Amino acid sequence: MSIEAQNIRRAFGTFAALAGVDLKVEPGKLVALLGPSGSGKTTLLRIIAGLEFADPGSGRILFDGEDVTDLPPGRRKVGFVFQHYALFRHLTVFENIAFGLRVRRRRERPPERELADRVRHLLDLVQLPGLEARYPHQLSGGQRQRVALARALAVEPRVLLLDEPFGALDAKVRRELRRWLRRFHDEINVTTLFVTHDQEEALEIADEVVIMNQGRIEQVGTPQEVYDRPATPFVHQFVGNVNILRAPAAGGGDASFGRVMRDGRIYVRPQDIEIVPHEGRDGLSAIVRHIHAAGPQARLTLEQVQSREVVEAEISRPELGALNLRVNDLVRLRLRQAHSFDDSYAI
Amino acid sequence: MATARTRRSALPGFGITLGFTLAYLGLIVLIPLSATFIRAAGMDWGSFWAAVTSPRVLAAYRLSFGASLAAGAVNMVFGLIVAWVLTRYPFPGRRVVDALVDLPFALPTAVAGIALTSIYAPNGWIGRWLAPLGFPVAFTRLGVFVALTFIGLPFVVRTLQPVIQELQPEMEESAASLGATRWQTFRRVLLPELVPPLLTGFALAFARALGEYGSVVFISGNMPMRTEIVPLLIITKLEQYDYSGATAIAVVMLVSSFLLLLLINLLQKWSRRFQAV
Repeated sequence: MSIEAQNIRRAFGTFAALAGVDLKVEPGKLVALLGPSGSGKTTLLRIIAGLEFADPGSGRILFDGEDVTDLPPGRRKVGFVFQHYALFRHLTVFENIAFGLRVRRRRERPPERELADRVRHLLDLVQLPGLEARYPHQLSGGQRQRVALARALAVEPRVLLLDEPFGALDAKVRRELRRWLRRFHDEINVTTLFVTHDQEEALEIADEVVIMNQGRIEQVGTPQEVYDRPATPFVHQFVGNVNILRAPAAGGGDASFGRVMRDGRIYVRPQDIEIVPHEGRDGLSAIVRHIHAAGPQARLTLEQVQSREVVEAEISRPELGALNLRVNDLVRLRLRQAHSFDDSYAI
Repeated sequence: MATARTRRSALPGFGITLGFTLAYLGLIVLIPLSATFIRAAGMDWGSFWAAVTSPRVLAAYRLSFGASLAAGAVNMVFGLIVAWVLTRYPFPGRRVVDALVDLPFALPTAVAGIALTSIYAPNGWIGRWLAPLGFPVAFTRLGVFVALTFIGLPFVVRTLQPVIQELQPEMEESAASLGATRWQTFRRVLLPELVPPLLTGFALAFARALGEYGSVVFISGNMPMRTEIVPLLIITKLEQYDYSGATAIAVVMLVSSFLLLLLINLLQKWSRRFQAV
């Protein structure tokens, strides 16, 4: 089932939460809506779910080409999972999952036996067999979120919408659960759109990442595309780490940095900076200010001699060993790859 | 108890606060109440039984408990609606309406009684329309019920308001997205959350109504066997210097209200079984 949002606008007073958003999610994909808080990603998700409505006169929401803009949330057949689970705490796990089936009209309601089978099947699916009789407060955060997912799936939704699904969990559970969600998605294959502000989460599990900022979509692409070929300065800063250098300083009269860009800045990822001994002639002179070597990669903080700009670089531990660097050593920096936003180039 | 005393706790002061609580409750509640029991204990069983089972006393019990329960129940329903509207919807004058709810708390009950009586009397503003329809209010049992409803309303509204305020909107949203209608959402999601405070409000309103005297004596007409409430009957006995008769009635009243309130508390505990402690 595909999801399509056409020209969605939403204003809260004078603040435009969504300033005309167009988005198409292909059937069966797992897509992340990524952006900082206030970028409009949750508002967009809630408008797709029907929990909020776009401004009158603005665009439409289509599921598989069918216009659902005016349908109430219960008739859209979406499964919605909230950041804080929103489980019904007075109901057992079983009754929570069965809720969507029990509120159906008598004709469409499955008989009790079938309903119980379905709830148990869903509990198996989310790997929580045997927890039917528990109340939500007797479960851990990760278990609650999986119950919320099972509850959303019980009504056989056409699309699954998750709002910061792992936001309330601690880091380790979050990593486990997101990998589980990826496998789970491949198993059930329901078109899924999830909101997150955690780029690592989005890049790791999504088929496609939609990056939002200030009510607009900045870029849509696979994780690799948005990382390697960021379309805007915002995306470059938001996805992964980046050094922003003033072009004249980066150029520094040195031929290896190529042309000066029109917006006057170039964007370099820390791992695209090569550190060479100062004896050579290529590259920018810089002083090592700090070496952080506790990790798979060594992170260096350097200060350019000429412009005094601070640059972060990442090199492998063997490289660091070979250079035999100490704090306050003088080195030269070379950029393997850099971006500017008039055109993209590699050196 | 033993563990609380021997183990170090991050919440110190258990011993001293418990001691204070018991001393305070003893002084303010238990000693005066036990005086009632001591007084009644002076009676022999036969005269005690005769005092509390005379037809006039039984009629008063029926009216007091019946009208108080009915008033509490009505307040539960309408108090819920009032609390819901006052918490959920912003509207001009909400603060004023909100303050109005407290009036039955603040008004001297005699004032309330006189006001209600003059309004519901056969020639009063409302009474003149109701009496021809066959619903005379003043000087009937219905009047007792009206007065008890009036004084009980704030208890239900004030217990419900903070709970309604705290209801998570996501609960209703997830119910809606699972296909529940508004009524189903209310019935299956919201109401269960509201049952504990509803029961608390009911218990408070009921207890208050049982003891209410000032407002009822004006509107009820105080006819023995028909519109006489227990507190009034006790006063009457006292005025006739029948002290032991008065205490006997009071003891039965006390024991049965205690049992009823205990029952409501148990019910309330059961209704919160899903909440984490």
